[in-house]
Amino acid sequence: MRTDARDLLFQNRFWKSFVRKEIPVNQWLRTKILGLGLINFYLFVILTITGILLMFYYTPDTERAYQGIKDLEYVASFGLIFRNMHRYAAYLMLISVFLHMSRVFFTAEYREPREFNWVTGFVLFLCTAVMAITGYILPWDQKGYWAMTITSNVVTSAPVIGEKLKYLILGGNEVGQNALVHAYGMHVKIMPLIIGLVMGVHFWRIRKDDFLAWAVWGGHLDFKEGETPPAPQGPEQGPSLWQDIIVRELSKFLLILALVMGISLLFNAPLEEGANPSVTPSPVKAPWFLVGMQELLSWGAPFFFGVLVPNVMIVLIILIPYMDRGREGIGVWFHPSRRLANILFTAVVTVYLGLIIVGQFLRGPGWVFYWPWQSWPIH
Amino acid sequence: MKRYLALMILAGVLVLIVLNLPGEGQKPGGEGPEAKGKAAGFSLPRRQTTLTFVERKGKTLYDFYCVLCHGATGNGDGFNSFNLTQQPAKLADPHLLAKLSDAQIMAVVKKGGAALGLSSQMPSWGSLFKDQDITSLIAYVRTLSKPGGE
Amino acid sequence: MALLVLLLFIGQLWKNSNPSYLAYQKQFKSLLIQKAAQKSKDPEFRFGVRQRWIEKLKKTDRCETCHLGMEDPRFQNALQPFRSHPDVGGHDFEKFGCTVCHGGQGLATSRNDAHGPVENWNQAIYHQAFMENSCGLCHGEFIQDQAPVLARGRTAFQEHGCRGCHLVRGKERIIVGPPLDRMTQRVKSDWLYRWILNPKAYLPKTKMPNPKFSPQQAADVAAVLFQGGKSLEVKVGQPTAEGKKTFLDSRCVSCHSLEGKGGILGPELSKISSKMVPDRLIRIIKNPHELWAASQMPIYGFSDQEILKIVDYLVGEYIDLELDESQAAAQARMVQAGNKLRGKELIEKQGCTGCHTQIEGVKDRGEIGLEMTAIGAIHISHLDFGRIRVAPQDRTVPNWLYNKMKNSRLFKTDLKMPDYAFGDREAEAVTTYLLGLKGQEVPAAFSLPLGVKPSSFAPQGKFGRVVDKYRCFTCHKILGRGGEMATDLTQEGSRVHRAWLEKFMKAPDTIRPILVERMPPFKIQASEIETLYTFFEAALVDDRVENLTGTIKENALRDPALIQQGKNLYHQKYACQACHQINHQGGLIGPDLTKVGDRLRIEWILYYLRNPKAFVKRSVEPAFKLADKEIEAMAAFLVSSK
Repeated sequence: MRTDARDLLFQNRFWKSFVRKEIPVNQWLRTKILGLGLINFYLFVILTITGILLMFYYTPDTERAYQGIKDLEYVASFGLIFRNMHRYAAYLMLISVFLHMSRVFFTAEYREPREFNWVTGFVLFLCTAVMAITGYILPWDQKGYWAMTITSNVVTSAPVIGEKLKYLILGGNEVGQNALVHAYGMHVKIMPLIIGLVMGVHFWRIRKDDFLAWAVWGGHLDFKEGETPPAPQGPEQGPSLWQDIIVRELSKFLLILALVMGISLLFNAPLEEGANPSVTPSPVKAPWFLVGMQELLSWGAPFFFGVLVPNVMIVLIILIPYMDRGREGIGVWFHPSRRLANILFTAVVTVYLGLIIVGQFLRGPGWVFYWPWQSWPIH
Repeated sequence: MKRYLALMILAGVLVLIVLNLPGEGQKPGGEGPEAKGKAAGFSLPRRQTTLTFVERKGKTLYDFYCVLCHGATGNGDGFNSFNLTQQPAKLADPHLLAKLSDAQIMAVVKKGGAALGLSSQMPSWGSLFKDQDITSLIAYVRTLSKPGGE
Repeated sequence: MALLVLLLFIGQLWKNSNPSYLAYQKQFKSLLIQKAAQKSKDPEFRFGVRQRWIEKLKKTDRCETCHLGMEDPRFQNALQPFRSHPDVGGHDFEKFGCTVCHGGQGLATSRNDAHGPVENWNQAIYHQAFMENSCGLCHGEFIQDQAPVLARGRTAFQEHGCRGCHLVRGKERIIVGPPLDRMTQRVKSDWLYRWILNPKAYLPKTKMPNPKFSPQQAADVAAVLFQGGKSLEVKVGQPTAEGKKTFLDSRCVSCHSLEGKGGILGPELSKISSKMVPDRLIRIIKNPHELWAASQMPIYGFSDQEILKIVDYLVGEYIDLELDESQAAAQARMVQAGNKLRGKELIEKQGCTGCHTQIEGVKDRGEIGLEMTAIGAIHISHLDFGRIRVAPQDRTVPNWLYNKMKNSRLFKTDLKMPDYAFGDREAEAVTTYLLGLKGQEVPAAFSLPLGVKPSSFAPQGKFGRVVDKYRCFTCHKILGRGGEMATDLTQEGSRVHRAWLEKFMKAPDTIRPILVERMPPFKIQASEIETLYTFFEAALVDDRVENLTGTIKENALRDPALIQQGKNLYHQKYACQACHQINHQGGLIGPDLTKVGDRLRIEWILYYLRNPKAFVKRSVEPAFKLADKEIEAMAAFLVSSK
């Protein structure tokens, strides 16, 4: 009975249309990854739905935005839950997008033919960051307001266009109504569109590139130019095994959903007091995913650290697949031939994480270093 | 291997979220280890009185008009009471108050001592107080006879 | 597995859609049903958030979600949160909401969030002690009776000279302390040292706060003040009985205190000889205005001989018994050896010029304290709790201010602000006033200034000079200006007979025997009395009283039957003797009515009996509604009293 029901649900052209040709399902089931890419998609879905629901109660007006958040919290049915879900899904998404990227790097799956997909993926990563930044300011609370102040000040260190860029972003010389409207427009209309489009390209490329390298190559470590993937071995994919994939993915979706809901039920999304331009919190910190940058900038040389280093890093990351043309170890975690690359990547990631930790937890008023057990002065 | 890795990542994610929650609010300023807090003299404003709002309004009236004869605690020993031929009513006496209904007290305040056949040295306040004022006054006067005072 | 997870979180969603206020609302509904037990129908009750949106004040108040009995008089004695709101006359909830007076987070619908303080809303509901602070927002500066705590706080703020160091925009900076020039001619150096070290040790009711100097610092400061000029040596004789009599007859205790008893307008006199040099005493008694233009002390007009005798008495009698001579001498030496440079630095740094002027060599730096214009709306992050550990729910602006008033150096020891050490009540009053300084304005529809603005009555010419010489405004009020120790003279021309006034001014006796304060016997001249009475008669009259002239005949007033009737009314029906005395018989609350016909004009008596509250609203006198005939009878009786 059970088999029949699942057959009915999953053995049809809809699900099968996701793949271009038959995939060795058994091998897929044995892959050593979490499927973070699809998890990102699930989180995106959660964010979109909760975001739309939040949109009904929110007004991007400096006098009403904060009130809208409070209305959500106290008056709107499930308002608090959805807001929490939106916030925590966003945090989870940032983390999982990052982890997904790391995974792809460590399994060298950006290599041919997937170079372009790496680029689209990284563009999506940047889009996620932009979404996070624009979303951060929308509650118009102290945290968001001052974080935007800091962020917009960073771009001024760009040569020549710095000030103009800040003016463009803020719609003015300071963070105010225009900045809020810009952020809202970006967050709700423009960026989702862009993300949708790029995501479409990303998925199309995934399909075209035959999904996971490991699944395709079945663990064969070397492949020569012009070779075709070997024929599948082992127990053949049967109708019953295809359902397993679908069910597994759906249950992953539910798991993510449960995780997000669980966290939102237990913890309230942070909200500080309403934005007050005359009260500067000390210290002012950028959002946690950017606070590493802020820490870097605190070492001085704003142009170097604020503009040059990030941009160079971005360009380098985008170019990784075009620089690394090796063939060995695609689809394998930590293949020995990639030791150098892996170490380099890990080092960069660790440094950035370290910067985040220092900036978030070890910096006090005046950006002075404080150990966690030291108390901060008031003035 | 896969499951282990998956769990590790999940755990890491959770840890990151939980750590991130208190965020900047972790260290509200200035809670040094050497402070002694309340012992050092930080006090909270005390609650004025256990009287209700209405009773407090009555007390304001009582303390201005009535206390001169009836006394601050209602024992009929205000400083002017010694110049009177009859001692003012002991409002703190629970037996006396139990015998008087609100309407009777209202009458004596409004029309003077003559309303209850008492000395006319108790003046009539009717043209000075509104009924509402007298009600709040009665509410306060009744607290005078309660044990534990105010 | 998936189904299980789905069920789990649907269940959790359901559970979480029960907000905390729902419990209160269910409770309330059951109470409503109880109260409507007689009726057959269940009362209508809608569950859900209740909100009042006060658009003009930009406030949204959801307090009624739990405080459901707010407008229902049946819940007067219910427990909170259902108790009905006491009647606050005219402030209906539709127009004002709740938070504009009570504070707190109106947007919230759960108890802790609404009452505050919570992480993202620091303003908590105002404690009962500070409730009146919001009154000033709409009702302005001068409300008195309706908001007594606020009024007390405002007075304290003014009198203690807070404005000298703390800027409040829109208020005049009045320096309340005496000028400190030529101190050598005023006080003794050892006294000055002791005073600076601890003012309250000499005068417990002084308004001067304790600057908390160390002994060396106090000596340095005293040295700076004690420079320039020497005092005249005056030979002081033995105290005489004559001097004592003059002193006591002059009723100095009306304004000065002796061992804590007496008035509070002037300094304490019981240890005066340890403080003042005799030459200064002489000059003060002779002409207090010469040395300090703002002095409230009148010029008595004593002869030099009399003054000497008084001073002999003061110096001989009012000595500081606890003062050790050798200690005093040591302190004087300390002052002499004090470091003037260090002292000058201290004076400048500590901001003594906020209360005192004319300190030699020291420039006034203006308001050195924190600006108070919007202290009521300050953000808690600007206030330093120092090393004091405070629970998060007590970490609010009112609590900080309250403790600061009680001990200004509680949070940090090396501050400039001296220690005022207000008691509980005063600290509450001042905190209430400060909290009311929100630097905000309300829309015009809400603004309703109440109370009486301070009068700017400043008489000129001959009358002005007499009033100035004798400092009448210290005790009397005329046309809204002046003190409240003595009668309001605004209708004096309508009130008293000229003959009586002349007699009284030369030798004042008492009108209210119970009072300690008496009018001092000035050496007033006939011409001065003439000036006063001319002004009274011409300007300080009230037509309502004057129009009663001639309404009653002289003969009628002498009619014995009428007098007897009046006597009966006086003693029996209205029992006036309960409060007034005639020939030492009667109560002590009201003025003495013996031979009142000599003092008060008949028109005044007639008008007053008709409407006692016309001129003095805050009096204890009940308002009897006397019939016209009764008034005449009573007037006849009063005028006949011998």
